[in-house]
Amino acid sequence: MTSVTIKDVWKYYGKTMAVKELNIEVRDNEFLCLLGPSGCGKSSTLRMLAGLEFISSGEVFFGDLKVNDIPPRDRDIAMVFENYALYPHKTVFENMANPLKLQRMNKTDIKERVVWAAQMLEIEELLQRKPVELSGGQKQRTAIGRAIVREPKVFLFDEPIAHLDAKLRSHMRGELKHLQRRLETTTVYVTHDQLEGMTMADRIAVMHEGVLQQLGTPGEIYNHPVNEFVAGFVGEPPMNFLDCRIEGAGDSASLVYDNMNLALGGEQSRILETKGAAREVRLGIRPDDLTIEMGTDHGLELSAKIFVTEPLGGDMLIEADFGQDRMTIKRKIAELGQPGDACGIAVNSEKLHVFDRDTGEAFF
Amino acid sequence: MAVNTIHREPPEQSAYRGVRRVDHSPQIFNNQPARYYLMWLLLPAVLLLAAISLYPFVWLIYMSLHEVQLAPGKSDLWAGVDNFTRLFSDKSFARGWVTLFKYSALCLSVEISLGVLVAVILNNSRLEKLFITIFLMPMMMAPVVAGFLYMFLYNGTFGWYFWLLRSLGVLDGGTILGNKSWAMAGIVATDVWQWTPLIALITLAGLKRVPQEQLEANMVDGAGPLRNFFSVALPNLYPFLLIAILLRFMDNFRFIDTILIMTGGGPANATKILPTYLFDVSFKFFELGRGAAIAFTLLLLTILLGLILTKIFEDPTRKIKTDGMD
Ligand SMILES: Nc1ncnc2c1ncn2[C@@H]1O[C@H](COP(=O)(O)OP(=O)(O)OP(=O)(O)O)[C@@H](O)[C@H]1O
Ligand SMILES: [Mg+2]
Repeated sequence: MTSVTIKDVWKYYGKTMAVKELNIEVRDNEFLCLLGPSGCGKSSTLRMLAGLEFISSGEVFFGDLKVNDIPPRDRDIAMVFENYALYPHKTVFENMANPLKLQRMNKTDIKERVVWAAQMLEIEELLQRKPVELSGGQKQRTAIGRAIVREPKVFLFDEPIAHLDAKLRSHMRGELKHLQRRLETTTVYVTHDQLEGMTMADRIAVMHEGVLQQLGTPGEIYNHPVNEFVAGFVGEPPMNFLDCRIEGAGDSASLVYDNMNLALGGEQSRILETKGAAREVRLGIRPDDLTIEMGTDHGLELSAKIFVTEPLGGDMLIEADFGQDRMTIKRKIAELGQPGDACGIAVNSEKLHVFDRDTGEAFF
Repeated sequence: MAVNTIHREPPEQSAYRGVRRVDHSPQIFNNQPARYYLMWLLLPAVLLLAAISLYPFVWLIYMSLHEVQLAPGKSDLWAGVDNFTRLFSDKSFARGWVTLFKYSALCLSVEISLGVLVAVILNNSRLEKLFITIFLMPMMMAPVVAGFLYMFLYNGTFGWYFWLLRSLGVLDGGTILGNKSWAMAGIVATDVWQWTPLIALITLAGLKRVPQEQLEANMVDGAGPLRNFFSVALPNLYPFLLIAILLRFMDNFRFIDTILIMTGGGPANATKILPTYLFDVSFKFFELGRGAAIAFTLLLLTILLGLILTKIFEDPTRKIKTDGMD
């Protein structure tokens, strides 16, 4: 129920830099996801928001209040830890009641709140159990219960569902998102799983090696990645990259790879020209934006050979080789080509991305 | 176990699954002879140990049921339970128990609270390693030496502690060990000085194992440092404290070297804990039968208290509670 502003925040552990000049504003009631690979500084950022870690330099505001020097207990936050961090000697009820007890709420109110949260999370029958008697999913619900009982200003989640099995994880994604909408509480959610970010967040902050790469809605991140890292990190299966050469100029540039010649649209060509793209660039294209046809007389831009096919039930992933490179194509139809079969690949040129080969910056 | 091994089965074998039973049990169960072989190997050692520890115990019971004769050639007289029944009317025996409990309770409470405090301070100190080395020194000392050291410190002519207490005006007359109300404090202080480090060390080991995340979660929940210690760290320390308390309470019931050296049970029996009385009965009055009876009660109570303590401090996380909500 407050905005969170991270302003020029740096984090050093001794000489190791974990977070570099971070600027993020989490809006009131927003579900913001910190997304990035292992070791990119997500947890460090979250722990600075919680007050569990000193801020090396920079400022953190909750609303207008600077919280740098406020200890965790006075920040009015609730945090869910990766390993749940339940108190083993306390029952589920006592675990969930802990923050309320520390607020000196009276017993009947505590009971009411805990039962309310337990009902919401469907763990009422477990209230008298100890954490050792719970399954992973139940522990995780208890940890979330402990966070939601007291209507904090901000929820902080550190990979709360990373240790659950795939099915439960997908179920909990929906539950958590629903819960956040219902409670209308500003939320910062850390994950390394891009699917969690894409499905749950209002906005995603993609981090890499301590540096914020891009901050935007899942749609923006997916459709307009600002650089090669973001493009490759978000999306499953990941984006295909292909080193190409630009030929032509002005309004009619084209990308050349081997004997493929891909004509770019007028606007795309102009962007490359105004941004002064080098000749050598990297093409990025998502598996969904490729078309495949079997046989040799396909008339498509690229001729390739099937390397392997991976049926996913409804969809089919096809990996195809051409020259030194390999691409993944995702198709609805299950054309069952055999490995080694010839095929043709067409690129949806409206959906393609071009990156600077040195800096990784996206031109579009 | 079986679930994992099934995947490692070679394909030819899994074709037979359901027809031929493939045994995936660990080796030891298949190889019964191996276990017997081990047992025979261990047998001599086990027998020897049993004999060594059982013999004195059996002898103790024998003595407690006899009037043991010391003169050579005289055989012991059967006394039945006389040695035990006489204890009921023995005032010194009862007083010995009271003094023992007082002594043990004082030692334990001071040592535990001080030990935990020291451990917490050490845990947050940069000089942890150095301090541990220094703190360990009293523990290395033989109890008799500790006794002599403290007698020196308490000495009524040149003892530092004596001088200190006198200067502060708390000790009005006599010496520390010669004063009926100060003597107990004197021997407790010696025990505390020597054994607090052990408790601090055990607690420190426990503190290192308190999960950081639990402490952090509690901080976020709104707990201050003190609250955090009592509601998260301390419960996690219970198993460690149990070990410390068990060790110390059993030692208090056994070790009388320091007391024998320092006061011998005086003044006016103020420090005559039961084991000291037992020593007197057996080796001053030479009533070995009665001494054995006293020793037997001491043994029984030590075992009983040990069991009770284990029950109290039982790791609460292991307890399974299946009833529903109230
Ligand atoms: N207490 C610490 N002391 C020293 N270095 C640390 C400490 N905590 C984290 N780091 C370093 O800081 C960097 C960022 O760590 P952080 O825990 O924030 O990563 P993360 O994005 O949460 O990764 P993961 O997904 O694996 O949890 C890493 O390089 C890590 O090694
Ligand atoms: Mg982390």
